[in-house]
Amino acid sequence: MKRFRLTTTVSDDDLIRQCTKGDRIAQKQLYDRFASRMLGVCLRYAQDYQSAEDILQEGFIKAFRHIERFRFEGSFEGWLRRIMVNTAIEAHRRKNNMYPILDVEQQEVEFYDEDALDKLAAEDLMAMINTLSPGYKTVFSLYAIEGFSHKEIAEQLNISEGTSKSQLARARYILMEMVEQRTGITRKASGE
Amino acid sequence: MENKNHHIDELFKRGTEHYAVRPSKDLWDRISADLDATPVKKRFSALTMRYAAAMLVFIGFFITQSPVSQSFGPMAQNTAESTISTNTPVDALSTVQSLPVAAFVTSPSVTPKLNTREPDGSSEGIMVLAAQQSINTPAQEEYIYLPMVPEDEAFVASNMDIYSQLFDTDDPVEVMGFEAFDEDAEDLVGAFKSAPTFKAQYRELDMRGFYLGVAGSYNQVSVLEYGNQFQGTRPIQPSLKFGSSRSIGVGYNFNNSFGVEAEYVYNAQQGQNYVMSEDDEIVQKTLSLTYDLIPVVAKLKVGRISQLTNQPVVMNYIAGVQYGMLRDARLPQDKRYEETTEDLFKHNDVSMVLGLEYDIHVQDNIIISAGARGTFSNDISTHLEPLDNYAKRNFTFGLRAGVSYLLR
Repeated sequence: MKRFRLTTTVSDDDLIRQCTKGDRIAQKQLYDRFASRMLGVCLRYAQDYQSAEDILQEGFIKAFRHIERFRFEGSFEGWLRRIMVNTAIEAHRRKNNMYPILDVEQQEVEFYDEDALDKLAAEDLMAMINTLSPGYKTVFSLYAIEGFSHKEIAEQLNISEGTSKSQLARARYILMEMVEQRTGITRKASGE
Repeated sequence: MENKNHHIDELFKRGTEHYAVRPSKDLWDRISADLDATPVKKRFSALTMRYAAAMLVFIGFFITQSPVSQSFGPMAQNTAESTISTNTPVDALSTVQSLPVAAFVTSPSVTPKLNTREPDGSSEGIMVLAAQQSINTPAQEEYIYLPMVPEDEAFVASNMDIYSQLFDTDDPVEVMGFEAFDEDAEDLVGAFKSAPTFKAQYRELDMRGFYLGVAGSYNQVSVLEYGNQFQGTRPIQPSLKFGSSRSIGVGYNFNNSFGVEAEYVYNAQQGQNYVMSEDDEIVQKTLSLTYDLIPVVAKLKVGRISQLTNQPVVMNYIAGVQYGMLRDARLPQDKRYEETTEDLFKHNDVSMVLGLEYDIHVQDNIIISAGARGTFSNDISTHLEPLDNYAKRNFTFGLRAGVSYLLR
């Protein structure tokens, strides 16, 4: 008799439920689904690729050990992402490499042509972020991408709000310089 | 300005939000191996160790000041040899030298030896006052001059020597303490009776039974956390927070030396204050945790009879566990805490309790207590947000006072 194998895609929720029982196969499947995207998150905070993988490893271990605390109320990816960000922040705090810097004057003109910016691939943008020092990179990622306020960043990183603001300003300035160099376009004034 | 800056932020957010990179092939193997391993507990923070050291010093102070090591009474203080400040009979007598010695004798028990000698080396003997006395029976007392038996260079008299002469019995006796006294005193027996061996008297009391009580406490409270904001790294600094609590309790004394007690403490204020820079100003923030607590403790009691009130005073060495039920939790809201505040902390926790309390019997059945207690909890964090490895522990240390009534 010919045997058929029915292949179905197991939902995230089912995999998560299996993971709560410590099912290693389910854990592996869940890892395969999210590891790449989560490594992308970690890379924005880590100093190098190896550090990013360390954060990813630690984050997944936390997630699997505490997965019963996921309540199926929001997206699992969002929950996992927060774990990765928090793990990255912890790693950052352990290294304590937040460099106080002088305030940088905010730029008055910061608009770009949308079409020109489309030329920038995600790899380009990540490469730019990765040229920032750890302090700038962390503050910029928390503020611009994760949506933290300066007050929240200050509490998370044990720095003052002023330091957070100045690091963000400096990070933006450096990034804008790099965007200009990479695209060959220049900023135009807000009134133009 | 924020709107303008939003543009560069948006560029990077849009461009990198879904950025994905395939991890190394062996990363899963490392994760899997770590999942198989037992998580390593975080070491205690330096702050925790400081609190523990402070508690040890505090306990040590009270131990060295406890009644056990106090002198037996005014008679010892009235003599030049007030060094009789120990409850070890042989040692006490060996320091008395030529002074007459009183022995306070109760039954039954062990066989101490009495040693003394005259300063000139001659063997004269010691003056012994023996009394068999308890709180419930009339005292039997005898006052004799007891010749000592030479034994090598020392002079030894066994308890049987004393007892057989005093009470004409072979029953074993325990010599509980000795007092040097002034042999020129007009009323030696009266003088000695006014300076009894307190430990012996306390031990004669019947303290068994249940008691009910109420108490209040005022504590310095902290949430000890390793590696996070309460660690004290500038510019976020922990600051003192105080909280009060009230309790009702019931206890049982198995005997004069050991008892147990359970309490219900309601609305105990715990948590942590901290100061930080916000908008160029120093602001104080408060994490408030309100608990109902059930401490269950064992009490090791060391008592004596107060010369002032002629009632027992008892030092209690307290150790036990405390079950905590979180009733309310409030903290400065920030983005880390998307969960409701209560979800960030375990609804139940267990603490270790250590303490010292001094009981003063103001009447036969009424006891006033005052002392200090410290508690140290297990990890109260649910690790929901932030899902980190940093344990948070409630720590309290403060003063406590109460009144209890002996049911007997």
